[in-house]
Amino acid sequence: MEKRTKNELTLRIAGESGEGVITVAESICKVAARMGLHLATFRTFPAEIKGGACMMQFRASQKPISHHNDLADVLVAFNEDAITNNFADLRDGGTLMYESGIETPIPQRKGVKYVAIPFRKIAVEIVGNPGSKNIVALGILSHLFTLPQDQILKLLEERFRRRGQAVLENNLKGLHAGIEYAQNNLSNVNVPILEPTSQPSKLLMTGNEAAAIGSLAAEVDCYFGYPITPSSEIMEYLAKNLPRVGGKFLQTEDEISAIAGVCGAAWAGMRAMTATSGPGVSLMSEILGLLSMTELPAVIVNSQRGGPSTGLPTKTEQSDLLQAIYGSHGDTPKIVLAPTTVRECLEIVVLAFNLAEKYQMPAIVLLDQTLSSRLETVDADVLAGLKVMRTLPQPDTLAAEKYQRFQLTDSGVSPRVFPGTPGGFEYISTGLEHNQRGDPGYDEQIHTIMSAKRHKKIAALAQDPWISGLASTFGSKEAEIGIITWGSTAGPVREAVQKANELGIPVKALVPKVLNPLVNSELKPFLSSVRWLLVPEMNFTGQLATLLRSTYRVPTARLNAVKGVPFRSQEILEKIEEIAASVSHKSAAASQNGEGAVLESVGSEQAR
Amino acid sequence: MFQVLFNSEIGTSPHSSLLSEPVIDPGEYGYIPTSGLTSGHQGCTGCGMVSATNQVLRALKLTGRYVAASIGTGCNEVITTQNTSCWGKVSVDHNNFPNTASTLSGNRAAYEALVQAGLLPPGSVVNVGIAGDGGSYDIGLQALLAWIARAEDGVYVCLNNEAYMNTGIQSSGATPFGAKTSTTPYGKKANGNPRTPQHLPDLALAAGAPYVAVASPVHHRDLAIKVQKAAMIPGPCLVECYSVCPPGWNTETDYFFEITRLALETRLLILYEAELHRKEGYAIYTLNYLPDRFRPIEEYLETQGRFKNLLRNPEMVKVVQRYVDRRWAFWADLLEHNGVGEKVIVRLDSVPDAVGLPV
Ligand SMILES: Cc1ncc(C[n+]2csc(CCOP(=O)(O)OP(=O)(O)O)c2C)c(N)n1
Ligand code: SF4
Ligand SMILES: [Mg+2]
Repeated sequence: MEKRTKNELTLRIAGESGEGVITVAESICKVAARMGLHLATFRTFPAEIKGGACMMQFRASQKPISHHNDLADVLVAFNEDAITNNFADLRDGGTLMYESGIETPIPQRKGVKYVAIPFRKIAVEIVGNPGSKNIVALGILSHLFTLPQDQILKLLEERFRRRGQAVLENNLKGLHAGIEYAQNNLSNVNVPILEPTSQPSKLLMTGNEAAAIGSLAAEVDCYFGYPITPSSEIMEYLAKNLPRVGGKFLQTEDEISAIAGVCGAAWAGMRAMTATSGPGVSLMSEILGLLSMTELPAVIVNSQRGGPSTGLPTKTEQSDLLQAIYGSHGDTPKIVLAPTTVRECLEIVVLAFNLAEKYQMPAIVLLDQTLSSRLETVDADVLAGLKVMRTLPQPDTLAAEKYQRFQLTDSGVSPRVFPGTPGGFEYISTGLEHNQRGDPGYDEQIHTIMSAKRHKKIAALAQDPWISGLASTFGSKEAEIGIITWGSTAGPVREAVQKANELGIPVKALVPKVLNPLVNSELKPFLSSVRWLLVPEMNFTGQLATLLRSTYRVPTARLNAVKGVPFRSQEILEKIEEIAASVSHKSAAASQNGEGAVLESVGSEQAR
Repeated sequence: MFQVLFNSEIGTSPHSSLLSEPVIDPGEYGYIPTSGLTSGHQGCTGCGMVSATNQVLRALKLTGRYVAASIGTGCNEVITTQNTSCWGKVSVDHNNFPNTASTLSGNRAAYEALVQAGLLPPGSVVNVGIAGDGGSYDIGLQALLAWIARAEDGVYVCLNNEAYMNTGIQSSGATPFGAKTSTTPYGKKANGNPRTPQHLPDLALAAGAPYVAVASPVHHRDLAIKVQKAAMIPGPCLVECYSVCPPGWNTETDYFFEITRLALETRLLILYEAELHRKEGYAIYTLNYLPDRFRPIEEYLETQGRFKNLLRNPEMVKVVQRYVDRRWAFWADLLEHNGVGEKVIVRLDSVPDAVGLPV
């Protein structure tokens, strides 16, 4: 038999939701994470609670990875639709393992290896239950990928023990039936193998779990929430775990009340958070303005989904950036942060709490459905590296008779005092425009002065050492083609940049994590070092591109997609190639403005 | 507060104190010669609300009016609209999640304007709002109560499966005490849902709805009559449908009928209707169904995984039993009038015709 690839595998498994597709993929992921492998995953969700097509793909690697991969090495399909929907995502030379009971013709492609497996039949004959076919598949795959059997057994025990000995035994039966089938029938199937690495075992979590864990690490006191896909797991995690550490969890009757609860708790001095998605953020808009106006810290996680309106509830998109920055009526400064990996979901939620408290304003953390729901390995040292910074009031340094809650200061940040602090520190907190004491007033100067004060804070934040070094840069330093992107799109971009450089097209990329305020010290040097700028993002209008263009007056080539699924790195690579081709063309035509070309040059516009 | 009067007759009648004519009585088996949902819904096996919606539409069509529906986000909307519409010849306005009742107002106002302009005949359209318990008890409650306050004509149907199912089984204002949901877990510091549910028909009646009723998709005749009454009685009328949800309640898919029967025999579910004579300050309550025998609440709880932990805690079970008994005591005067004394509560396994339920 040919040599088998080691520790580099992309597996996609697809079927009907409820068939246990996710259980199989997650089980293998868990074992691989314990073996110290890096994992990136992607899954789709049907809109219905039961039924509908679903799939999960994971990529395991010895090296750190940023993307779940464009194409799978192995596709496991439980039914006909699973083949139809996913066959194009199997790479040339890949292996299709499919339910042999499928009666319709299997699509043929040269180079693909076909393996028909009677998953269902084995489950019926040996376990006596067709529903166990996923565990049979787990047995087969774990044998083919040479996973340590004791680990798989341990996992099944953890998973099924609570459901009774009989359930556990049935599952073990299914597992062994699968292993035996593979031993006897699939010895010549060549798929990659996974072996334990020398690296320590890794944590495995989703972006939503990471965000919830981040809030616990940040000492969140209160969580107020309302269910909405794809953010609900954050709430569910905290419903279970926040009371355990003495915090308060409350499910409200809608999102307006959730953010109002956050606002009330923040006023009383607590660290408070809510998580939601598009329609929920829209409902929260009014109180986001109140938080800005009353200068109260709060963390709002928006797990973006396709919009507008109810949109695409279970699909991914990055179309709430401008809403996050400008949303709510009036001029409402808010901090906007966007993690790009699961690990960063955790770290950036902590940062959001730190910054919100320091600058006394709401901080929005933009996740998206892919980031929220994808499982990824996180190095176990993540918690040790977190910095929880509290900016607590120090009333003993203040004179009560002179106390002004909204005092004008150099940084714009005023002394905060918690309600009930003895000694006469009472003040009125109101969404009406107010003077330094907090008393409502709308004379000519007050609104001008206070608007400037509130915006001063956000300008100060851009210089804060707490955020320095946060942006990622990668690619070839000397490149003249630059990419700026944000959020989960950083994954495929990283992959594409690497491939482009390997192909001899020099490209580099910058991924800011702080999107409001834009951090000049990150962006300006990058922008002035490139001549051609590409901004890929999962929205229709090019929201980050618009922002960059209006702020820095740089022309951008855009790459937008609203397909509900993340970019493939190939799409980005193709765009890079297109730009590279046009660049050599344009260079020849010197600095003439190429109308109608795919891109304009950064340098030429700046010179104008 | 209204004076409470009881209809001395127990059962479902096509007559109403608010209607001069009776509505159509579909007879003992509740056969309705109209069409409801068309095929292709994507609900789970054993879903109660598919059947409920189907029957509601059929009953509305019995009035001879064209049905215009404002539907709220949730399972019912998702499973009847994705890829193919299952609504047949019904016009559907799916607004946002909080807005079912306000949308109903808009739909109605437009219809009335068309009538005024002479473009449509009066009495030719029935406007129905259909939403889940989350959409009615929680996020949509303000819109719903305001719609009732405005005394507009229409029907509101709440499909109550006692949690937010479409987003993954989170608790709502209608979730039973002690039920396990994704946001009311069990653990060291938590004992499932700590709150007892609210009761939407009470809220609606207090807000001034002329007609409120509780129905179940297992009782076709009762449901068909109630929905027609809600359509024919002028003003904002509400029907709540008990909607079994196998994944959300953690039950087998084929115990729809038995679960409903146990809900009724334990008296957790009470089929009743109330007609409010608002100006006169009184409401007439009718009990539609009196079980032959009463059963202890455990027998209902035992059918559903969401109560598994609750059942391990006898004190909590007692709380549920007390709640059920006290609510039933509301009907004491009526029962006494009918010569129904306290019934003996018997356990299911002690009677010969016991239905085989999983334990
Ligand atoms: C403003 C807003 N918040 C939240 C949601 C998410 N959401 C959609 S359906 C749903 C649950 C519906 O629950 P319920 O009304 O009880 O209907 P069920 O699915 O249980 O039938 C939720 C929370 C939304 N679409 N819009
Ligand atoms: S989850 Fe419940 S309410 Fe939703 S379709 Fe399934 S059975 Fe029906
Ligand atoms: Mg519900």
